[in-house]
Amino acid sequence: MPARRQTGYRSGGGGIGVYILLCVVAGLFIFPLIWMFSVSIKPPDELRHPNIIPENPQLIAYQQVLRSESFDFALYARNTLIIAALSLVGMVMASAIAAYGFARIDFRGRNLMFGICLATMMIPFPVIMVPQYIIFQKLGWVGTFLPLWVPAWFGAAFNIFLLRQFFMGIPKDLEESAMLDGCSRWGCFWLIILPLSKPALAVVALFHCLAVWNDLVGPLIYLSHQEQFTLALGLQFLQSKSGDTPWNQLMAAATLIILPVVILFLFAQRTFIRGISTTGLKG
Amino acid sequence: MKQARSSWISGMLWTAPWWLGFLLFLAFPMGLSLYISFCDYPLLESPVFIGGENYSNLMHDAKFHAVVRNTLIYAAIAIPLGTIIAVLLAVLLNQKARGQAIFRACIFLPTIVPLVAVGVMWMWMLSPEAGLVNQVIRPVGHVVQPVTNAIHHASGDSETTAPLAELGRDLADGPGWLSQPRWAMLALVIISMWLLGSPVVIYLAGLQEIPETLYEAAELDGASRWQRFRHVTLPGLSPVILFNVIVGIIGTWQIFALPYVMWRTGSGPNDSTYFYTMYLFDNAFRYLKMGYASAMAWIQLLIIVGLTGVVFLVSRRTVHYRGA
Amino acid sequence: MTVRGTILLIILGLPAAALLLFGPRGQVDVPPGRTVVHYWEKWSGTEAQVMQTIVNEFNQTVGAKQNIWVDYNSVSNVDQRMLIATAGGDPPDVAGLFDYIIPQFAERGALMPLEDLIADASINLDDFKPIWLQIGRYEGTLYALPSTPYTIGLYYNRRLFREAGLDPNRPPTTTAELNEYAKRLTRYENPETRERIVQLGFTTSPGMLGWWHWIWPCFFDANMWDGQHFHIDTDAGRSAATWTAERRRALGLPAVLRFEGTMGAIEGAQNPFLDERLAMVFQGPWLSNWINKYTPDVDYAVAPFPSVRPDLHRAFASTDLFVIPTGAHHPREAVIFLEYVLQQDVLERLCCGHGKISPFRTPGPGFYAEHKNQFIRVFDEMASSPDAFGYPQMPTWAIATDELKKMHENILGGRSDPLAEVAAAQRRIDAVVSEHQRMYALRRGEQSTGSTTP
Repeated sequence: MPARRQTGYRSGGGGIGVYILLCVVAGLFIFPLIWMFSVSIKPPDELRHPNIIPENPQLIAYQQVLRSESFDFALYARNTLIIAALSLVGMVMASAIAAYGFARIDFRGRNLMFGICLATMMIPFPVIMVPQYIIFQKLGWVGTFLPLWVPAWFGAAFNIFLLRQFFMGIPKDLEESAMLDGCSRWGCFWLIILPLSKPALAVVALFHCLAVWNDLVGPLIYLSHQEQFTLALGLQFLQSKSGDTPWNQLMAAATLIILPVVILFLFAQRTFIRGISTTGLKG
Repeated sequence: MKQARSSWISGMLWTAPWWLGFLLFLAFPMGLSLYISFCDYPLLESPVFIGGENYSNLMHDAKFHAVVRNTLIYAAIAIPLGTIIAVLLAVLLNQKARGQAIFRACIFLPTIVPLVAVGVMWMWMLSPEAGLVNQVIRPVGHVVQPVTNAIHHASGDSETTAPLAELGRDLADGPGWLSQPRWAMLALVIISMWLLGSPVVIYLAGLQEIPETLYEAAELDGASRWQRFRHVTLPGLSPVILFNVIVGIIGTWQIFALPYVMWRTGSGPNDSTYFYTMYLFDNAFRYLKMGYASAMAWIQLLIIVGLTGVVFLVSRRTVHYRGA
Repeated sequence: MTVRGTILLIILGLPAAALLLFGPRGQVDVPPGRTVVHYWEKWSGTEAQVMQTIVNEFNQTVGAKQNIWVDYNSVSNVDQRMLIATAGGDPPDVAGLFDYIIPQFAERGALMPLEDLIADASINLDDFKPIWLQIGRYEGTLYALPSTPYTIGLYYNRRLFREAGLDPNRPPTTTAELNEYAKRLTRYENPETRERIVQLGFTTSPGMLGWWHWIWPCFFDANMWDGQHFHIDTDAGRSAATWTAERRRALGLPAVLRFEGTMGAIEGAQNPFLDERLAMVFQGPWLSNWINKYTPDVDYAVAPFPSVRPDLHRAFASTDLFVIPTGAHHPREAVIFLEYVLQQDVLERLCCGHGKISPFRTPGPGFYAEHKNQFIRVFDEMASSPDAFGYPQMPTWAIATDELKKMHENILGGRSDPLAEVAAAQRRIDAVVSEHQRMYALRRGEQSTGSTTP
């Protein structure tokens, strides 16, 4: 394994300044989340007060959320996981393959197709919602998880675009010399491009999980039973129409929802951000 | 000739996942929505062809003009500001520092908070009296207000400086972020800056792809910090910036859910946060004018394509693909 | 594998795998041979639980006997979902809709007329207060039956009344008197300059109360919709605009705007009535729940909102409704289910659980006593008023209400002449209505020669 090196600016001057800046900025971003946590451990009678540190911190809201009959946390988490698991590999692979086609193969109509691909991102969802519903209904998929994960196996415009940008940043000479040595296109993709773009692929995987995690519209349209709900949709139901939302429970549920992602990100951010093999480029 | 044919086949094969998915799930809905944009289609009854009437009506629709204006203003503020802040954050988070993982997590975390919770959280943050934002702003306002008042008085309390005095007073009082039309859009901008985690992560990944050797060479040439940023980091990051700007343009034209979480009516005080997609949604599902909404969708597509085209044209000169 | 990877796997991977393998599974087991009735409802949380209990009871008793299984679906944004499903040709068998959508759906033939369907069922329409059936009708045909109704009243702070030298047992009886009270109940930081308000008597700012920005002309005896035309630029509409503008001017418009600007917008917890900074507010029964929950010490009472004349007793009534969509697969079974739910003791249990009033002429014994809202009788009696009214039953209400919001906000802002605003709103809504009627006629004319289907 090559030695890990910090790229970008070399360390050097400004160490303490940078550190202070980092703390301030991170503090600004994290403050609302601290507040969120603080509300989640407040007893109901303290909810109206703006104090950050609750006088009587309690975990009652967490108990209520985990035991609530109308918000079955474990079940919704499982449903969300199922959808994410069923779609993740397909999304990453399909997006990468298509992105490679757009980035590296020069064929007639490529730019037009890529343009259409971008255009699919630009068309507002409300107007294609109804025809899409009709398709899935004809397929008999409404009321199942299928509409939520099958399309992922055909990639997504956003991810294709993202990966194309990364692939185009990888120098061509690597592949050209490999192909002179008799390596096939697929071989180049599999053995050169994919290993080199691990961070980008990880980013796509992360974004896809996030999209599933936060998707509200899809589950809203295609799922009907409360037993099928995802976390995001279930959370929607915690918020009451008549304004009697239990704020501490809402915040407790939100805290529980983001917790796994926090852990995942803390441990795996190196993979997301830092290409372990990119050092190979600099030979 | 044969070469072109074989590369066409291989190109189509490689891009097959995308175009198969497109044909299966998107081509029909998009085509239908184009047809429907020339129809009267109240959803509960079948569409009836009416020609270009939806499009010509849009041209005279004051609300349509208002949402286009709101969206353009929002995009003009949020995209440049967001790009600058995200790049700076990425560079900052790319510094060598102990515990960098935690800092990175802090910036990224907000994007994973469910939107319902984001809305509630910021309603409290921006709450006029007890909200944190105003607790920071009010002391600043107390310093600013005498100055703006003095200017206003000096100009003989004229009409032109009245907004300035009003600004000073708002700052000293703490702006009513959610209830005053002139502050509502800014409130959304603040929240969107807080949600910049995704572009920052993309920029961070992009920074890793800039070869270390370039920095070493620049350093040998005696380049300063700023020069290295300007001549190594920015060009190296440019394909990713292009990506984020385009995604940002698309995103701002589709801003929808957040205003609904923040304001009961979504459109905010005096429709100050009424954006394009919100009006489109209202037409489609509240007014039952799906034809009208579809016409809006295709106009939106044209607008974004136009803006993206401009960005691409500009990018020809400024974006550097090492792989090209 | 690195240490980090292993830790990650243990912390996240194992629970995830365990959840996938052993986690709870969402399944509904429909007993074989039953006809499944799909019932979509918008309620969530505890409100949904009350209904789910009733559905379970039905499935175990009447449903078991008649071979019907009601499948209760919680659907947020039920109206939008209904639209999509109807356009897709697969609507549910029963749906819970909002009252203001009924004309829109009924006009397009998306709802089944109920009178014939329920003719054989033991649903006696005379048991309901007339207003609730009137809300379920469109152009004379009954399309919807009430589920959980409510009215909106005037909450007032008795302590602040006493402080201002008003009789806490005598709420305002006319709109003019309300303005008078509002003035006396408003207090300033400095009464001389009147720059900053510390306590406001009353406001109709949409940021601070619900979705009733359009309602004020009704208390001036307006009938906004006559079936063909919308009327806002009338005596009633103009009086309401002047009433609002004059009150705000009398209280000091800049100070009022400033006060409203510094108010939080969160429902429930941040309502200024709870802080005793707003002395009177126009709200539904649920405000009592918030008060009980957050500030139980506030000494308040509820009264009908005053009308322009003391002998006029206008009261806003609104309700959630049951409908059977056109194209429902099992309308007969749906009616059997509705028959069960609309029994007085069952439905009142639902209303009680939702904190709403009863739709029946005479609420059952114990309804008031069991209800957790101490003022429920006041709300219930408002619905009996002969002058009670619901939403204007116009198919273009969604657009009209947005236009009226714009008008109201402009009047509140005080930047232009209120009467000019009313006239402008009248013109805008006239244009919307006539355009709608033109398209509707065009469609009916064209459909005889042949229509296009997607």
